[in-house]
Amino acid sequence: MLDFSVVLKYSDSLLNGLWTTAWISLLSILIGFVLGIILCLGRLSSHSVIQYSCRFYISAIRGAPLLVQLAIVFYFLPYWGINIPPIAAAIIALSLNTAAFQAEILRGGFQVIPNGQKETAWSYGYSAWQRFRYIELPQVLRNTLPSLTNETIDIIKNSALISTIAVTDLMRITQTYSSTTYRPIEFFVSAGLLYLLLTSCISVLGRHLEARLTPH
Amino acid sequence: MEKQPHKAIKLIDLKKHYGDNQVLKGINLEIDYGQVVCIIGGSGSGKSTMLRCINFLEQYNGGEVQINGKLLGYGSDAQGNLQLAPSHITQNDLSEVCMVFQQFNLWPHMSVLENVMSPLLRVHKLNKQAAREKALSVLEKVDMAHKIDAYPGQLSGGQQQRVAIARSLGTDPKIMLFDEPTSALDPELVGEVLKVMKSLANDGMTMVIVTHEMGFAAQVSDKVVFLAKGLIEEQGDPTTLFTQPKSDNLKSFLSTWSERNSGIV
Repeated sequence: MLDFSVVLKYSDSLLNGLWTTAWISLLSILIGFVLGIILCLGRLSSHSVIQYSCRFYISAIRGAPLLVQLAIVFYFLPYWGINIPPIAAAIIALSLNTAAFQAEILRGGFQVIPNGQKETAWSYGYSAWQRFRYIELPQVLRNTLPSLTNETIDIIKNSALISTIAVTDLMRITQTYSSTTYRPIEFFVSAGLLYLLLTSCISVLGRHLEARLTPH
Repeated sequence: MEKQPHKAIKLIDLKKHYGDNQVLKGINLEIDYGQVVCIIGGSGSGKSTMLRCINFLEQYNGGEVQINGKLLGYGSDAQGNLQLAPSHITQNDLSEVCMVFQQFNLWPHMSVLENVMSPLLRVHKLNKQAAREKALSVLEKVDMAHKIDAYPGQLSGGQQQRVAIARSLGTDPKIMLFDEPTSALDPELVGEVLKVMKSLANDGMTMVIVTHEMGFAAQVSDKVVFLAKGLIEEQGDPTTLFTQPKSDNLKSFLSTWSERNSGIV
């Protein structure tokens, strides 16, 4: 018989795991966003070395499993004498990964802005930075918000993989207790619901932001 | 208007090509401060390209564009060779020149008021209060003060173009360029934009207008310039040009135009 009372006994630990999953994912999304913008601008650059480096990076990251990227960051950094805790390795790997995806999302956002709007900004004397900050970025954010929300949800779900490098996230804790209590179904169903709770919060937040950014 | 030492705009043998396609083949034109000049011509005659060269939205390949006596877009290096000037220097030389576009090019994420205020805040460094007052006064001028909180997507084309004109006016331009300002408008909205432009002309604004509105050109311009195949084929005061065209190209251009309109009017 299913018995969820065993889950309640460990609910504090599970919620701790959920918290770890949440802050690691969201921090990675934020770092990835900043890196993503830089990558995206590099990808759109007319300088061919910069453009092709960014293209290569994006293809490499998108074309290989996140699990492999995690392992590389986790095992290779110590190999070069850089010792960092698993949590830092997880954040680095997730940020580098989502940066590539966000760069492509943002690129779409930049490309749909009609050239005339940028010409107008130039003819009014806006510097390249001002044009980016006041004309392009607000529109890009508004137009790509649904996709960025999606990417955030993806990263939250994919972050389950960081359990493989000894980060005590929700997945790691679920695995631990499901094997010590012999109650895998109860624990995995509960974990699933907690992930769903977190991703639902993100999608509500995303929709709320969208409504606020859309003027009409 | 007081006498200015330089021409507002001087084009000397202006040339522009895209690949093998020679769009401007050597344009010579002088425009005084306070003059209203309409540029007419068939599609592909180079009129929009000429206007875009005056605002350096296109780099020209030969000749010179002078704004208020200063060469636009290029500077001399140590050896005296002409080099492309840094973008911000060109922008600075164009600070008194404004362009109104066929597609309005309002920024869609900003309200009407924000569109007009933005250049004042970002480029002209006015404080918020001053920018707002200035914006309201120019929006009043184009009769759009009642729509300051609307977004461009909520406005008709004519209203958008009037806001675009207000945005230009906010920066106190000495020269205004209009690139087919009414071509993207539904016919019933053309009048309200032309009315605003006419009042600017009466205020003594220096205006260069690429247009298909011959009636408007005849009414407001001091000079009409007819372009064909990248060259100025004929220019002069509107009455002479429209009633006694000399070149065959202009004759056929004008007769096509009047045939197209005779059925309606």
